[in-house]
Amino acid sequence: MSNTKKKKAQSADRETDISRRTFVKGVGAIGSVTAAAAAATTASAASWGGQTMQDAFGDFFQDQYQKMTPAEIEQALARIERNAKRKTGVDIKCENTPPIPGVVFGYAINISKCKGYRDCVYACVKENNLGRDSQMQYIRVLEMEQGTRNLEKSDHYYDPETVPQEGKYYMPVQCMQCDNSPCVKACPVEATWMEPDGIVVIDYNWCIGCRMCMSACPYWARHFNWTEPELPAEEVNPNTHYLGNRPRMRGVTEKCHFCIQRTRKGRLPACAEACPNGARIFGNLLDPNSEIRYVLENKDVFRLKEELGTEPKMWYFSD
Amino acid sequence: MVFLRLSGDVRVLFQFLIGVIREMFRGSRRYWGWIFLLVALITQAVFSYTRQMQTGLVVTGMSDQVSWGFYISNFAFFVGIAAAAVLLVVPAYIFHRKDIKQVVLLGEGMAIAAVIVALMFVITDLGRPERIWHVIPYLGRMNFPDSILAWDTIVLMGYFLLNLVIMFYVLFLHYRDREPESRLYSVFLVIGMFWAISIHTVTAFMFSSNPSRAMWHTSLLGPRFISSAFASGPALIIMTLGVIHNATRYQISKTVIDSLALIMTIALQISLFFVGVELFTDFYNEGQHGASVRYLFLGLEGLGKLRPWIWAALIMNLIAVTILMIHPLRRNMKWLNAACVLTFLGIWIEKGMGLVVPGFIPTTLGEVFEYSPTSTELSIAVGIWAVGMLVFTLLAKTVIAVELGELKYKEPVRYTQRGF
Amino acid sequence: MSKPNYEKSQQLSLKGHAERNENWVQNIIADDTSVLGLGDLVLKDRECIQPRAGRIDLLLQDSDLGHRYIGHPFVRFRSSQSTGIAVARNCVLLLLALFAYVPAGFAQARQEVTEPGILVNPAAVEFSILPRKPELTYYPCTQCHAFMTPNPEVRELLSPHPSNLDHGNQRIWCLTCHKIDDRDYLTNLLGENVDFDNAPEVCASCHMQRHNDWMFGGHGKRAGNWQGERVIYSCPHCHDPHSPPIEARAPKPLPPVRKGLERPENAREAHLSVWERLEERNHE
Repeated sequence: MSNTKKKKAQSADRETDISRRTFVKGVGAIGSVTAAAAAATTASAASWGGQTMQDAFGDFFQDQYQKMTPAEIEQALARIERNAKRKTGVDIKCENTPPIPGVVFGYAINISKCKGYRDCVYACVKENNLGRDSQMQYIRVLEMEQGTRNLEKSDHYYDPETVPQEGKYYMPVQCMQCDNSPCVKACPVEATWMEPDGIVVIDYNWCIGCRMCMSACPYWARHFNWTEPELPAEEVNPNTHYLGNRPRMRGVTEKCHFCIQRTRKGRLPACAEACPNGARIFGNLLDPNSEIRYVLENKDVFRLKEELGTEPKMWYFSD
Repeated sequence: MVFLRLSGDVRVLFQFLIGVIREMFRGSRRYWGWIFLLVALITQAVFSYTRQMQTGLVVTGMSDQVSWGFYISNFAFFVGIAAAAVLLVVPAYIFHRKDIKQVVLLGEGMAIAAVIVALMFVITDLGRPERIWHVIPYLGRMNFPDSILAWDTIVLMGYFLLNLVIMFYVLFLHYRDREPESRLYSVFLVIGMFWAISIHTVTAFMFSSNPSRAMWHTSLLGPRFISSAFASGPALIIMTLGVIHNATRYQISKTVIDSLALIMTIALQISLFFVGVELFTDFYNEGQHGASVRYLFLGLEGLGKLRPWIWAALIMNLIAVTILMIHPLRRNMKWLNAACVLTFLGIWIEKGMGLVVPGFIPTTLGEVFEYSPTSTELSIAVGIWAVGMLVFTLLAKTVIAVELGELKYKEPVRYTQRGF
Repeated sequence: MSKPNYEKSQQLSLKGHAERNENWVQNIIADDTSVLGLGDLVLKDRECIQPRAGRIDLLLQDSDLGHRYIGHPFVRFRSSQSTGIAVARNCVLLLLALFAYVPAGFAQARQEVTEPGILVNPAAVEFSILPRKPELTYYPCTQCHAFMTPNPEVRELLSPHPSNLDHGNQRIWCLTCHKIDDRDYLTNLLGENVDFDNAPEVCASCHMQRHNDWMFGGHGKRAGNWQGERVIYSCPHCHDPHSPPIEARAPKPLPPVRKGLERPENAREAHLSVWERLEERNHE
């Protein structure tokens, strides 16, 4: 190619090419606008999300519960207590009560006694510091049609003048603490597992919020914190357990944990205590003299969706 | 690395990388217009995502009842696109199609972009994305081999790295005017072919492993995913190659398009066959098993937001397959492009929202509760698509420059060669 | 024959009378217990306060037979004739006649509930029943029934007793479960005394299967913890024996949906049961 032609080609290229300098200027402009806008939107939020820097870092780098040393767990408990004090002004006690040896919990619900009062639902909300604003409820009572066990025909939102209604029976559903739980299997980070006393627990500081467990659960037992759970300071239950009802954050999944803060100390779960009809029977499956064993051995019990192989620890029966 | 020698090669690599980056910043007015558009779309998504990070996923339309929505729908779809890149690798190297070998690098660029898009959709779907490091083995705690999501993380990251390595290896060799000869390279390629199938099968398993969800718990889901990926992937590749053919100096041979169109046709036929099989199985002796499909196609309890979408998707796919089955039309670029658009959109609907959302309706306790994406979700999704297009644009720019010889390694003039 | 002396009748009011009051009657009896015509009685106590059972004005015992009598003198009459002792005797006799026969050992421990025999399954875990007596409004019933004649006739009762016994559909009535001659106790089919805190023993007479379930924990409720001492609720805690069916009541509020979303208008068709569907088909 002759020199002139080369030069012409080059100048043509230069005209159509936008120089690197202009591009960098443009990117810089966009970048600064983005940064300013981001700063404006985040300026109102407290730095470190309302925690001290030390607590924020401690929270972030915390290991999974089963891998933490006892000292680390103590630190984590103290952090939770401090955060709760900062956020709600309430002095809570966060414990790490270990499982009682020789105990595996089981639960039975008498569906001929359940009248659909929903006392259990709200007792659970109070006991477990469930977010009032985020509308979290661990227990759902289904109003079933007499003559069928078809869940699709059930009504979740029944609201008659009085219960029980004619031609219906009532079946509360909550986490079944499956022995072969699909949720434990599905979690990619092992944030949920089954404890030796049979309770399937969640480490709320480890959960990444992918909701794989919620797809896997056949009982709609797992619930997600779509927003930050809020509850008034006077309604906070200060007796908490790390794996149970201690304050949780948005973006993590939670569920019924058989009131681990109570049951590991020998107390009944809040729902069992609340039921005025004695429809809920709770106890130690390994104790041959327990009420739950009597029910399982003498009543016509069934488990929900047993055919999926989940081995739930919650039975239903009628008498 | 057996195919690189020492410091001299490192210098060449460095020059190559500089050249690549420089190439990305060089372009016509149209190119820059396109880049700025993409950056603008990404910026608006950043705002929406910031809002989501601050308030939580409550800004989306998801609920406890329908806990996966638009994000995971797109994730499933784009993993399929990524897997379809293998459709270029197989004919190029197994069947020694020289014309397809031309576009292999572009296909791999698309795979990389698609994997990035898929991973970004998963990360935006997380409730606590800052805790994503929990899934890294040893650093965090990966539930391997039980959790299918853990498998998915591994295979997607692996596929991403595989494609990145292969693509840049070949590009680097082309940059030096050489062809890949090493045996190890062939091994990588074969691994890549199987890996591509595996990423999409594992994604399918992520859904079909749940016995609680009757619509997904079928052995057919894996084959459905692969067949729809092999229909929508080539559709996108054909459209993209068309754009490259018209907008750049890189000319694509018609035979490449014809081969891709043929693969797309067969895959779409199989995909529609699977849809038909699904409809028969669910409706012939209808029990509760078919409740989700009934919701999708006919509505349930008076609710049926997805009905118009799925029927549109089905009709689009049927029109597309008809066009594709008529040889003269398939060979006509206008008709082919129309079929590609219909296929792509149809499968995006059917495999995305048309699969993920009905899996949750009715819920495992029989409740029918609907879902529709909010503007925040759409805004973030548009931004992530823009990221994918940006990544592909930049990679394609480099590939084209290298293939056309514009970006070439110039041997430094040696003292002895200069003469005197 | 001499003309009779007519005296105009006068109305005498003893209300607020300084002298002719209950205390005056008590003194008369205390001075000479034989006025009552019940034999030689020993005055054991006057105005003795019973724990949670009011007050006994006069406590008399027959020294020979060991019988005891409770006396609640009232001064209330309408006769215009008034002669001190005769009047006192009349009214006191009238009322004493209604006194219940009180077996010996009143002020000491009463006969306890029958020892659990065949009704309690030894295989059941030891348990204690949550006491019921603190919740009973009118206990002890002998406050009133000690001086009322037992009337075994099946009839409707007045307040404070429930007028309608909605239990057993007319097959039982009050005295089926309440001991006729000792109202501080219930009674079982053998006629033995059953303490109110052991009411389940009475219920078990008919509801054996339920009782069995209750003993083992398949029915009823544990009051307290699942671990440790087993204290369970008594039957009447949940089932009012006079109207055992559980009353319908309003449920607590329905569940909410996620914040920011609204519940859709599900068109739920009225579910026809299998038999209703068949009936419909039959009619066509």
